[in-house]
Amino acid sequence: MSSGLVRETRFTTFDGTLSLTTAHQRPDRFCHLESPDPTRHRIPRGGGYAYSAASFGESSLVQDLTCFNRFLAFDAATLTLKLEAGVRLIELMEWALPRNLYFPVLPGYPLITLGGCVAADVHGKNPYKDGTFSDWVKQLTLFHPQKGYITCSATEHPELFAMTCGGYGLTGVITTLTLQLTELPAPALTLSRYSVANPAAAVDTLSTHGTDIAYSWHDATPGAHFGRGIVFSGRWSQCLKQPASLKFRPMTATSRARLPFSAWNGVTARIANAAVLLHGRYKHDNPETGVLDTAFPFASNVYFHKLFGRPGLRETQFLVSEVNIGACLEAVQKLICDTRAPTMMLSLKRFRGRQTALSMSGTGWLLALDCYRNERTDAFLGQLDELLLAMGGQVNLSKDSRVSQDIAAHTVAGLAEFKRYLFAYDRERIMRSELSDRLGLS
Amino acid sequence: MTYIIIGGSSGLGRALAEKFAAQGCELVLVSRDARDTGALAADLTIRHGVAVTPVAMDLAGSPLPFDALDSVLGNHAPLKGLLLPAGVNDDADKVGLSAEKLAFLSRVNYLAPCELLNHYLPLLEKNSGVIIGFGSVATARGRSRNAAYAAAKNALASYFQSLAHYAAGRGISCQYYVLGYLDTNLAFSQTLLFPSASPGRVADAVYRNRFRNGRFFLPRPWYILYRIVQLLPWAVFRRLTF
Ligand SMILES: Cc1cc2nc3c(=O)[nH]c(=O)nc-3n(C[C@H](O)[C@H](O)[C@H](O)COP(=O)(O)OP(=O)(O)OC[C@H]3O[C@@H](n4cnc5c(N)ncnc54)[C@H](O)[C@@H]3O)c2cc1C
Ligand SMILES: NC(=O)c1ccc[n+]([C@@H]2O[C@H](COP(=O)([O-])OP(=O)(O)OC[C@H]3O[C@@H](n4cnc5c(N)ncnc54)[C@H](OP(=O)(O)O)[C@@H]3O)[C@@H](O)[C@H]2O)c1
Repeated sequence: MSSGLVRETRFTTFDGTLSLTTAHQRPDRFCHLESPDPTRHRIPRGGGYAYSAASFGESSLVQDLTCFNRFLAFDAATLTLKLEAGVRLIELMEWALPRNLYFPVLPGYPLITLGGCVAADVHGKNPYKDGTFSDWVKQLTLFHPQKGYITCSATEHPELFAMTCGGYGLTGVITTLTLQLTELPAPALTLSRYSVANPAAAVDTLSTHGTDIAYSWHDATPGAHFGRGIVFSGRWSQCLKQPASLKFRPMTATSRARLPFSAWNGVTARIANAAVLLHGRYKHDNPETGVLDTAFPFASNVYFHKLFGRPGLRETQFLVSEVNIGACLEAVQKLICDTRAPTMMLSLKRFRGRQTALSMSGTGWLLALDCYRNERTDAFLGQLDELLLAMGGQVNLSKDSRVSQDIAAHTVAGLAEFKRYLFAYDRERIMRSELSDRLGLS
Repeated sequence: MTYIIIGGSSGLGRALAEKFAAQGCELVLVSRDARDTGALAADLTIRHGVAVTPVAMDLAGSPLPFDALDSVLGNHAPLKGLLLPAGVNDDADKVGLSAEKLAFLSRVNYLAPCELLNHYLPLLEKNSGVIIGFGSVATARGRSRNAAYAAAKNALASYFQSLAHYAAGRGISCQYYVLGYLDTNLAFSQTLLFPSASPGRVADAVYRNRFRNGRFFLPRPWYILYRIVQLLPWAVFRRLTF
């Protein structure tokens, strides 16, 4: 074996707000994964699409799992598929669709890995119907340098299983996982768009639509037009022959940030939003949309992210209870308009899931806000944190790169229990990232 | 038709396995750790529906345990090819290397591939098969770094020349690739002077050319650099520290 398996690499969060250089290994054999000194701090990395620095950290060896991307076993009777954690969502879907199989929880970018999906317990286009990623995981194998390989599931080491789903890589490296697939309901989707005047109207519409795809998008620039938006509502449709592959040019945290400046500001954001709304108004129904195009809207539509350029963006995503969503939306609108916040886009999804480890999950409404960066951005988000505390909301740690330990203590429902478990399970705290350092978990 | 890939667990060997399996070829994958080749075998069978068998073998050992390899061939379609992408380097590989490391680098990069080739030559001759070897641009000219690796690969290149001479008119195809930098773990930690090629693209070219004979450079522009390094005046070359 070559001795030179580690190099120094500069890692950047997908939102572009934090970069650091650290040791980087890309194991492609089991002996490589196992080779670093067992006392060496490390953190697993998947596709690198987290907005926060969850897969790298100061003095932590980054173990990039993308070469561990093999399909291991398929049971046609139970529709369970065992794979390695570095398999990307697109690889899974390009295998599944031609076999008339489907996996329902697909976050928006095709190069996200399954390991990253478990670690952040991600959600797809309709978490109210499909739950979150961990609802579809039957079994995991973890590698911890001081404990070796451990298999866990809801019945075998159930606590470790729960702490790994949403555990941001801090319990060990997920090497394999077994997923529950379903039969492909139909070859395509009919995606309808409904214009709505504000987020509250979207909540009403989404509550009454029992569709397969359900989310909304809104103009979040401050002003009279705040909140105008489109509800996306999709149903399976028999019409189209399913395209089993997606054509796109990969976007990474580095390629996203190529533009040296941000093209988004109050004016350009408003113009872009108006154009999207106009387009939505005229393109009311889109009869047949491919499954992959619907699942991965950001694959072909990269300009939104790329135009934030090198300064990057801030996204914050939080879950608010059914009871509080109305008041929360009003308060968010007031805050944005009063402070002339640098917000650009807001989106809503109805949510249902089991909260585990550090995940954002439960029943309620997911609200996401994207901001371009200027001198007011962080102050605005600080005020939004206060609002979130008042509403008893939960924050999504994979989408927000700035959540402090104090805020997390009140907005990450499982933090205290996770911390207790982690410090008993792994006293030396071998797995570490900037996220774990920031939250006092290192 | 079945192909044996020696060093089929990772890097170029894995890319070759993926390419040949996608084209419907049966495979026997050889490396030291059957966990790696076992996982890859499962993957290729699930994705491409071909029979793939993993075999654990350490090329550093002598004699090579051919029995294990021969016995699995019985479960496969006739042997059509032997691909020899296995290779290893060492950061400590400089003139003055320990005898143990010198022997290791020579065995894995030169002796074991030749032994394997000799062993399967009669069968491949019978099946009008192919033998494909892989060298490196590091052999352009001996440097203080990669001394034993380059020497072993040069020896392998010479052996393949002899093989080509032997194979002429016997129905065996024989190719030797001189490879530039590849984006694999072999060179992951090295500071490279030029961009590295994707092993997948190299594997595509190898598959396309598999029935040709001769020595090829991949990616092709490396031929120019290879020649430049060879033609550099000694007074300049001795000052280079790459
Ligand atoms: C354009 C875009 C759209 C997105 N859409 C959605 C969406 O719709 N819904 C949603 O929920 N999220 C979404 N995300 C966020 C994304 O799904 C998560 O951040 C996810 O965790 C990223 O996975 P990754 O493979 O890129 O892992 P990384 O970003 O590399 O790592 C994320 C976390 O996973 C851990 N991890 C990775 N691999 C392993 C492993 N093998 N073992 C243990 N831990 C591991 C890391 O340690 C880290 O803590 C989106 C992101 C982008 C950029
Ligand atoms: N990477 C480059 O930049 C580069 C440049 C020029 C030439 N090359 C040549 O290209 C070929 C492929 O290299 P690569 O980059 O794909 O390297 P790699 O990723 O390190 O793969 C090398 C393969 O050889 C196997 N191997 C090594 N030692 C072995 C042993 N003792 N017994 C059995 N198998 C052994 C490895 O399997 P296990 O470790 O699992 O046993 C692995 O499958 C090599 O011949 C190399 O010399 C590479």
